Amino acid sequence: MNQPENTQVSWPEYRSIEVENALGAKALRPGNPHDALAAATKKADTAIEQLSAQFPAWMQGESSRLNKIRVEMVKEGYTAERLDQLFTCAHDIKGQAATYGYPIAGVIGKLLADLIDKTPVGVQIPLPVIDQHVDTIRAIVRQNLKGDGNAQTSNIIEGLRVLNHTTLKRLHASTPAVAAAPAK
Amino acid sequence: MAKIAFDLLRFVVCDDNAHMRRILRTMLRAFGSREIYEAEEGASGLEAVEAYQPDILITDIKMPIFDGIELTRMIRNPDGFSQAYLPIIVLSAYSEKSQVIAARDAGANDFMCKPVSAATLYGRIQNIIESPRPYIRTSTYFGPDRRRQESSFSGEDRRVEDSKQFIAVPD
Repeated sequence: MNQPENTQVSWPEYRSIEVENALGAKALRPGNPHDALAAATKKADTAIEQLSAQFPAWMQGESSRLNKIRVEMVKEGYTAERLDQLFTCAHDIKGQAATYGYPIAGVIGKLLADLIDKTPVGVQIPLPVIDQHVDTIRAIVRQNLKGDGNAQTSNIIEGLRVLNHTTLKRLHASTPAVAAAPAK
Repeated sequence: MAKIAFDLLRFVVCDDNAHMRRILRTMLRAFGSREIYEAEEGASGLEAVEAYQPDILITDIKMPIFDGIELTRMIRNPDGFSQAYLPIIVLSAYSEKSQVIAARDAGANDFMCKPVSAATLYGRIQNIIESPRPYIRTSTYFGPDRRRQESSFSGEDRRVEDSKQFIAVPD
């Protein structure tokens, strides 16, 4: 959109530019906005519902991808690149699992992504800690555990939270503080 | 307030996850849009914007090569990019305030957290089309006005009087 500019206020370092609402002129039509919203979202929800038959397979795919990276880490080495791949996968699960109908897997994905994000650069997360997250997500998918979970899943989530908290505390405590630069 | 003719709108959806792109495409098609182009990372997203001249860009943050924040910054270049005013909705699994602020400061028009619902997506698009904000250009920022709304309040407006004491009014 190459918008014509109509500068309203101008200071040497600040300009407020009122742009013509070309998009509004192009796409707004008379009608009841509430009816339009209701009709559009109903149609979209129906379309997503039809697509949802594929969600278990998609979730299975994400779970398998996560496991593949974990296995590679164990067999071929814990590297920054693999850790980044693991983060990306956990982050995807965090964002998408709820849409697929597996919100608990999304919560575990968030816990794993946060754990990786908050670990000091260059410090290795103990593999058993990673395993617990990956195995929990795999179990949720394997058992087709949809919905908001139950008391057992709440306990598992709380257990992982505590595990991550103590792990991060230990990893940060064992990381040597960056030495102050010598005065010039 | 009016209804939106989605069949007249062209979108670029940029996300490295094919399933997420499929979900967004499904929603936009259900709204009525027929022109939806996809890109799977920031670089191809920029190419798609140049090639297809969309009306709205929807982009994820975390992507390979360069991310959605960098893509937004590259687009918000009024001296070097023809689509500098393109409305951009940033979509991310990052819900932390720092990421929302980063997207806003890069020049995004709006932000949506995953998982996304059809009603939320519709509302963001509706807001962009019905209530566009002015653009601001400073030495360090170009993009939509980051002050989202002027809140009304009752009582004395002390800011006006106070500001007279400290701010020199330009010629």
